[in-house]
Amino acid sequence: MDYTDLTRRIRRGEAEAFAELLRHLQRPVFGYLGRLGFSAAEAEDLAQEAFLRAWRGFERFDPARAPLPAWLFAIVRNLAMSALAEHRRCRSTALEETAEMVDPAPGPEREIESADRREALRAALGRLPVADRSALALCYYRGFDLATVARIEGCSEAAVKQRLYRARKQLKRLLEEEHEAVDR
Amino acid sequence: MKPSIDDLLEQGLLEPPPGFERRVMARIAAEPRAKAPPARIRRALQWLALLAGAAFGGAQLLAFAFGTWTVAVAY
Repeated sequence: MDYTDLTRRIRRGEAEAFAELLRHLQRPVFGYLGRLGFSAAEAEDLAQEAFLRAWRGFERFDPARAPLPAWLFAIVRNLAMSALAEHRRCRSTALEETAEMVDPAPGPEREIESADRREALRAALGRLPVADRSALALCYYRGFDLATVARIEGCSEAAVKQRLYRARKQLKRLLEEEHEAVDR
Repeated sequence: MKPSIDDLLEQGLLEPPPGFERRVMARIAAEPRAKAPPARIRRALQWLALLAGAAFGGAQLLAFAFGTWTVAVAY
């Protein structure tokens, strides 16, 4: 996607250009919020607010500092962190409400199995420290390299690597524990 | 075949709800965008403020050095 042209058009106040940006980034934004453990309703509120803030403050966007998706994700991340800090969220609320938003798998058995795995994953993600979870959630957006994630997170690349390593290790352990508990 | 953790994480656990784009664009249409100075002007202003601060700091340092020197040569 040509962000230079898009930026120019949005600066001119073209709402259609902003709609293009929204269409392009809405899926990764919801993916990120989902990986952070937000419910569908909370994610919609946060995503709406983030896009609205981006539109209102677009003049403040400086392409020399960060690419457009990174700038938008920084807004989303700040809102998400504030929401997490404010509510001291319990992951169970997110689990109940997001179940309906899961993509259906082809068959009923696979659907149940896949939903179970997603639910277990969501529960495990909810038990990770917020900073580790956020770094992990950002890394799964293919458009971002480690340097961009570090810029959004406001830390060094080494710190992001450490968070990712820690998060993956803990996630694996939590999921294995969950798996063992189900088998018993 | 079970999807791996990486697959699940890549797919994302949430999808944009239907009509999300429409709702955001409706909110955008409802409120005018606040005008802020363009990034280039803002950057220039930041540099200006930085230079003014540096000049002030430099002047303070010189004044202190001059004062110290004055006291030193007086005795």
